[in-house]
Amino acid sequence: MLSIPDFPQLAERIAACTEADVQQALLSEHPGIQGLAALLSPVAAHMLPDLARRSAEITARRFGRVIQLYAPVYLSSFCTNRCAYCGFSADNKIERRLLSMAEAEAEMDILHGRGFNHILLVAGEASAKLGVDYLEELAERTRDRFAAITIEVQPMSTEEYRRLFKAGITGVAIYQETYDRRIYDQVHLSGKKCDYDYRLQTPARVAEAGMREVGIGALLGLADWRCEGLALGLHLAWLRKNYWRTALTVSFPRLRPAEGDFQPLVITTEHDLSQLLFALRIFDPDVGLLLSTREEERYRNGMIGLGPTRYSAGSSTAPGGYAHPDLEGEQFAVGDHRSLAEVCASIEAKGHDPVRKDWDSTFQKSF
Amino acid sequence: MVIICNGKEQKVPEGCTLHQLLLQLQLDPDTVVVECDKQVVKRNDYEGTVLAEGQNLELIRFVGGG
Amino acid sequence: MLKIADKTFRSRLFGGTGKFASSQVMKEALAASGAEMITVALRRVDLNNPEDDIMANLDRHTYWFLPNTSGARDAEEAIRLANLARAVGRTNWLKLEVTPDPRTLLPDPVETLKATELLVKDGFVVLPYINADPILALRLQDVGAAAVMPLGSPIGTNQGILTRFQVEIIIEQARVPVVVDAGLGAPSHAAAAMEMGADAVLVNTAIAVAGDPVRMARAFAQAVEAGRTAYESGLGMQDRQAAASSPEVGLDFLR
Repeated sequence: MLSIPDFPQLAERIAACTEADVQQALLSEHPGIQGLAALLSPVAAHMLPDLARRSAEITARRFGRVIQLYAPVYLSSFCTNRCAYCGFSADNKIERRLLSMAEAEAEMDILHGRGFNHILLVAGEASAKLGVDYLEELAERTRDRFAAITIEVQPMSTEEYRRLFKAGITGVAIYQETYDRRIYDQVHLSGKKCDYDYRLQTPARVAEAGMREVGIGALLGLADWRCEGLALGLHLAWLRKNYWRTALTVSFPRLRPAEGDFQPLVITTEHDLSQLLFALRIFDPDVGLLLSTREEERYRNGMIGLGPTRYSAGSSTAPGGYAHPDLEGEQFAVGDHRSLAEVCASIEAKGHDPVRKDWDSTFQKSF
Repeated sequence: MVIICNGKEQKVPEGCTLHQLLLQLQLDPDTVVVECDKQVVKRNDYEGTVLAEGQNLELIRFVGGG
Repeated sequence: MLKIADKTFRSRLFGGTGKFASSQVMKEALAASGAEMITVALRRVDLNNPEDDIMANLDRHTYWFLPNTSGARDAEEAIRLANLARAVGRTNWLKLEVTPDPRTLLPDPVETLKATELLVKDGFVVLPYINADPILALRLQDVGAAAVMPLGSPIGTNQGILTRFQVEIIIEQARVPVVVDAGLGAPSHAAAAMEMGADAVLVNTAIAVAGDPVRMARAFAQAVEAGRTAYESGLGMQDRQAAASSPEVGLDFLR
C-alpha cells in the first residue's frame, strides 16, 4: 500500500538539495524522486528558466505541440462534507442545485455544440443525491457524443468504478487536496472526506477498475507546495509501478486570496506554480498536466508549450451554468473567462494545435 | 524381460524394481528422476515400483546449462 | 541484498554450468565467481557415462540451483520439463526458457507467458527468460513471475547489451527483480547492465569459454560489484547535446 512520508521529512529532503543536484536532475533522463526534490527546492527557484526549457523540450518530444481541451459540467452542489476551503462545503449558505438527467444532458449538449469532445462531470460529495446510478445513466445517454467523459465526484468502490467504466466513463479525477496529514485533518471538518487514507487509496481503485485515466492533484494554498510536489511525485511513481495500464494526470488547483471566508493557509505564487509544474514534467515525461480556468488568461497563454498538456476553457462552475449563465452558486471564481474559440485562437497563435478529441470511445471493447 | 530405457532396449530380470535398475546402471537414485510411460515416479516409490515388460522409461538428471 | 521470491542473495552474479571444458574447471570458476545461484539444464542420463553427474560436483548447500527448461519449444514441453526439474532438484524454482527457433534460440513471448501463468499457479517460482520487451515483462509480472530475465543480445553471441533502451524501460517499470541474461560477453557488459540498475546478471558462455575461465569468473564478479556500487552511488550524468541546442524560453508573463 502507498504511504506518503510526513511533511517535515519531505521538507528536509528538499532543503538538503544543492545547485549541483538541480543541474544533475536537469541533465538526467530519469531524475527520480531525488531529482524531483532538487527541482522543487528553493535553489531551483533561481533556475526557473532552465527548468522551463527542459520541461518544454520534454513536453514537445512526448506530446508534440498540442493542447487538449475540456470543459467541466457541474451536476450538483450538494455536499455532505464540511471542508474549510470549498464553496460547496455543507455549512455554506448557498442555494443547492442538483441537475435532473435532462438538465445535465442539456448542459453537455451545449458544450458539444460549442465543439467540446471531452467533458469533466463535477459534483459535490453527496451519494444520496448523486450516486453511481445517476452517473451511469448520464454516461450511457451521452457517451456516443463525446470522446472522453471523466468524473470528479465522491470516491467510490472498485466495483462502482467498473460499472461506470462499462457505462462510458473513461477517467476519474480524485484530488488528495493536501498530502499533509496534519493540515488535511485541520481543513476537513466533518464528513466522509475526513478519512485521509481512504481518499489516498482511491486512485488505485480507479486504476484497478480498468479506467483509462486517473487524475491526482493537490489544492495549492493549504500546505507547503514543494512538499505537495514531492508527494505527488511519490504518488505518481507508485501508481506507475502498480497500474501500468492507466494513464496519469496531475492538476494544480490554486487557492488565491479572495473574497469569502477562507484565506489560503500558504501563498503559492505563479512562480511557485510554474516551478512545481516544470519539476513534475521533468520527473515524469508521460504525465498529463492540467491547467484550469482558475488561472488567468495571461498566465495560461504564457504556459502554452512549457509543460501543461490540457486546458479547460469556457468553464462555468455552477450547476446549470451553461444554460443559465446568470446562475449563482459557483464552486470557485473563474480566472479566465474566454470562450473555447478564443482559447483555441491563443493556442494556435503560440504554434500549438488545440485538440478537442484524443480518443474515440467507440474503439473501447464492449463487455 | 525387455524394457525401453532412454530410447534403448534394456534387459532386466523379472521382478526388478526401479531402484535396482538404477543401481545396476550405476546411477545415484538421489539425483536421477524417472518418467515411466510419461509419468514422473516419486523418488520414494523407486523401491516399490516393479518394472513390467515393454515399459518406456526416461532417466533424467541435471547437466550443465546456462 | 538481492531478494527474489522469499530468498536473498549476496552475489548479483548468477552462474551458468554449461560449455565448460571439464567439471573441475567449472567448479573452480563458479567458486571464483562468488555466484550463489547457478543454472542447470535437464537431460537424459547418458547410460554410457553414468558417473558424469553434475550434482556430484556441486554442493547443494553452497549453491541455489535454478533448473532451466532449455530445449522446450512450447509451453507444454516447458511444463513437462519443469515438473521433471522439480522432481530431480527438489526445488520449485525455474528459469523458464521457451525457444522454438533453433537458429537464434530467441524466446517465444506467447508460450512463455502462457507457461508462466500455469507454472505459477502450480506453485513454481518462475524466472522467465525473455526478449527485452517491456510490456511482456509487465504482463509476466502481472501473472506472478518472481523476476524477469531479459536478454542483452541473443544467447552465446557475446554482443553485450544491444537491447539497452528496452532493458532500461523494463528496469524502470518492473516491481520484480530484473536479471539481464544472455549476450554478456565481457565484464564491461556486465558492469554496464549493473550501472543501468539491473538487479543481477547471468553469465555462462563468456566465462566457460574464456582462455582462463577461473580468472574470467573473478573479473565478472568484480565488474558486477563495480557496476552495482556505481549504480547505488548515483552516476554523474553525461551532458545532453539537446540541452545546449534548445532556445531560451520566455517567462516574462509571470507575475
